[in-house]
Amino acid sequence: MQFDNSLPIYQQVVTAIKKEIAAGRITPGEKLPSCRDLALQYRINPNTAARVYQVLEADHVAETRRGTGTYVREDPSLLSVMRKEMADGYTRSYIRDMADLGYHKDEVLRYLEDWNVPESEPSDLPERT
Amino acid sequence: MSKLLKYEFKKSKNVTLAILLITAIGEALFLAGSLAKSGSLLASGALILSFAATFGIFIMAVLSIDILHRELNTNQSYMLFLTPRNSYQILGSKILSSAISLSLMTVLFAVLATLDLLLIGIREVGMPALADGIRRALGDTYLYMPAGLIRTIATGAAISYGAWLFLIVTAYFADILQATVLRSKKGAGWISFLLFLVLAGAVVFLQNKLAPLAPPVAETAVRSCVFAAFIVLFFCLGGWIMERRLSV
Amino acid sequence: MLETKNLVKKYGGKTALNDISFPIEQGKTYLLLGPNGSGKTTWMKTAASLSKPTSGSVLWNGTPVGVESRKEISYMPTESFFYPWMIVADVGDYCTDFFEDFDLDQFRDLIRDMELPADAKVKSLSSGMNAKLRLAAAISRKARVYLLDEPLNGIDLVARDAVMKAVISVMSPDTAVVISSHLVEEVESFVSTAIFLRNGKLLEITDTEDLRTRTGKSLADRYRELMQ
Repeated sequence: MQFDNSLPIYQQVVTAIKKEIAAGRITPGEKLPSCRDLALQYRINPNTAARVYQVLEADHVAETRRGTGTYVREDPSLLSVMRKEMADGYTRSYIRDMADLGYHKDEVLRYLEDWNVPESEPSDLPERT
Repeated sequence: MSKLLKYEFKKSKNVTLAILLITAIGEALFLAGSLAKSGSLLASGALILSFAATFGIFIMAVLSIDILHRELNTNQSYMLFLTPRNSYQILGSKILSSAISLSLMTVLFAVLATLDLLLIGIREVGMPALADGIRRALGDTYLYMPAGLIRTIATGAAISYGAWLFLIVTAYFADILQATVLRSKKGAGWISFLLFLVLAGAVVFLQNKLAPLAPPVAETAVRSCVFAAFIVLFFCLGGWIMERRLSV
Repeated sequence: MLETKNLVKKYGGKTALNDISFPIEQGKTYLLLGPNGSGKTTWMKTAASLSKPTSGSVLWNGTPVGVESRKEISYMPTESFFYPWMIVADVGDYCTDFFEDFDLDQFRDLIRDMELPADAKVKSLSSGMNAKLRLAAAISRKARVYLLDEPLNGIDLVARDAVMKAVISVMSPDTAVVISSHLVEEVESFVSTAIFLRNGKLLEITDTEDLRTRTGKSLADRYRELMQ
């Protein structure tokens, strides 16, 4: 993972893990790697890895079971909560950027409505099936 | 200490093997010459053997000094000085390994010399001319009195052994001074060589003064004691200086 | 655990370290930063007890570093230092002979992971391969302190990941790791404290996460600021 070295590393890893949960790549109840493995995976200091888990616990995303490790909380609503949190974040920054460009609310809504991805870019939102 | 010693032997393994190989070739030629009664084979064998004995020990000594020099002045020093071993152990293992190699070499060449000369004595009837030559060179006794021959060779070997070991340890000491107290001074290498000559000369001078004071039978013993005393002194001083001043 | 106190080191007329003091604490990973000639290597060699201080000291649990501290401090020098007659496997045997905390199995795993042939002559290794061998030898010890002098020097991009993972794997709550590297961006995600040196003087000791939280600056930013 590529870090922005001017922002706290632990926050960036917390966000990365939340994103994995929101995207369903990590499921509620799943065991998270040990601090050591998390450190190796993200190329961070093991102290930072421990701090990541502290923050995830404080945010009620993960829980540490004595002796066995850290798990994603077995909470069915977690996925939607994480999705909402992530989506809020992206939307907030999108709106901030659009506001910087001088767009008004109705303009932004119309812009999104009319948004057509060019053929060459495959990254449009998937249609609900 | 045994681990340090093991690696000291490994460092000089190739040179030792080369000297032993040359000695084996010389001895083989000598024996072949003796069996085939070929004077030229025998002479070339003897020549190779005496070369191996003289230069073999010299080369071993120079090599061990060169190894210490590299281990005080290049990155190779880390190999020794990163290990949890103190300077006395490191220097001691070097002196001990030199002493052991030197003993083995001395014993080997002394035994070969004795056996080969006796062999000539036994086969003398077959080779009167050669035996004549040896008799003229070394005197009658050597061919007919093995005890005298052995005593002469043993005394010579002991003195030469002590002298070699003393010279090696003195060179170590001079090199340690070069790498510590003389460090970063211009011409430290030459100064240490000069120091080596002065130290060795002074000790030999002292030895020559002391030896005549003892009864003639004890002269060898006195000379050996002087060498031994300075070997111990230079070891202690060298280790002490390394422990306090050496930065590699 | 490793305390540098008023350390001064002079070579001839040149002052390599000029009265520096700082602690190395367990559980932390330090990055020594400074231009060439700032004293990073000199400090490491002194802490590894290869070089004796001109004045001041480096204390290991309260006593000056020496034979005892060498048992618990592992040092990776920045230059090759193995005997030229050695092959890669000999290095493992040598360390097994001299360091009680050396893990030969781990050494074998590491050289395999880093694609170093065990029967290769040390003399014939490229500088990058030699660096990997030095690193493998240093981190295969179960030491309390690891001093790694420029562990990424000469190591190509592809192998860097393996090297950094190996370095991260020795970090633990009761060990300290000190790395010197001029590749700040490569290592700043996993160091906890930066020690800035210039001309043998200690400029600053900075907690990296604290720096990012407080000022929104990266270590590289701070380095550029300090060295101007």
